[in-house]
Amino acid sequence: MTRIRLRVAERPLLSPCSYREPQAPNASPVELPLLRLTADAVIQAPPGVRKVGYSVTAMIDTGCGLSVIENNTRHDLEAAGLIEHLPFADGRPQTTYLAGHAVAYRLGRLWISLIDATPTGLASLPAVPVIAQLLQSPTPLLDTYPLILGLHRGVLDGRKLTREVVPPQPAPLVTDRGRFYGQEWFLESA
Amino acid sequence: MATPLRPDEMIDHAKIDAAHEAATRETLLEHARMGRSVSQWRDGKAVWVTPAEIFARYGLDENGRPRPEPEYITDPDILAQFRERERLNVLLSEGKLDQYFGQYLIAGEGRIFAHGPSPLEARREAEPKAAAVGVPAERLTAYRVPGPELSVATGTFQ
Repeated sequence: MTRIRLRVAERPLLSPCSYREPQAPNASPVELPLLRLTADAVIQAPPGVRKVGYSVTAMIDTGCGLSVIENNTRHDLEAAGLIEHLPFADGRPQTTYLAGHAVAYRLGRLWISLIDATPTGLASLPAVPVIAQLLQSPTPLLDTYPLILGLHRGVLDGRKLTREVVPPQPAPLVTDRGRFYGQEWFLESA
Repeated sequence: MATPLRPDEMIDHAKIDAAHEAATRETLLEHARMGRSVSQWRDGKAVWVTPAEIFARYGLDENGRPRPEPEYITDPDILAQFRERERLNVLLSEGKLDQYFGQYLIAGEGRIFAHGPSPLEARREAEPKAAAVGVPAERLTAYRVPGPELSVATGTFQ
């Protein structure tokens, strides 16, 4: 059994968001940060095949049904030979919708392990097969995180995702701000 | 004059301490497994020690199970890629990558060799440059430098 810590990234906003408490109109505004749950991932060849692994920062999104790979990174991964394409059962092309825009996709299988940089080394959850939508055209909405790890048929299957409350403390890296906001996330194998 | 004791007749204090420690551990864990707190003398007063504290004292999780042991990455290429990504995370946090917003950096061993909107094209540019200074392609990583997002409430899929 293995347990790794995920990271909470704080993303900059084009227009920062804050509000005032109606009961305390003279108090300082309450800032609303944009936080994303992320994981360092390694995309690797299937077991038994020797190829160089591909490191990437992924976003964990349990509201996303399947995992998704953005078009540019998809090209890079295909060149590295790390995607196994999966034909649609009915042979017909499929589309998904991003911000109301239809985007064609194919399906692929990748082997993905998750990494946690600890003081004693790079701890990892073993690679599992992940079924992903491979987007076929540029999608600016996915520019921030080119790999989204979704709810099903992926790294969350058979694992336990937990959020723990911790005392807020300094966390200078914008890529690892969970402790600053009093939360830590973990993923562990069953 | 007293006859000296043979070594096997002498009191083995270390063995006694170990047996005492093992007995204490078993007793405390038994209470914890039954969900019972125990009292302890601490800082001049009696305090209650909860089952979770007892489990934690012996390296167990809150339910008394062994904490999972992580596996560690040993592949030198992956270690090098992540070292580089950690370095870039620090630069990103310091605002030193702002000129690359929206681009991929192809970097390795402390150097950025190419950048652009396509990691594949940037990698093709970077690999010969990296090889020229002794950095193998296997140690390069494609690091996305994200720009600001539009709104705090923007989801990925809407």
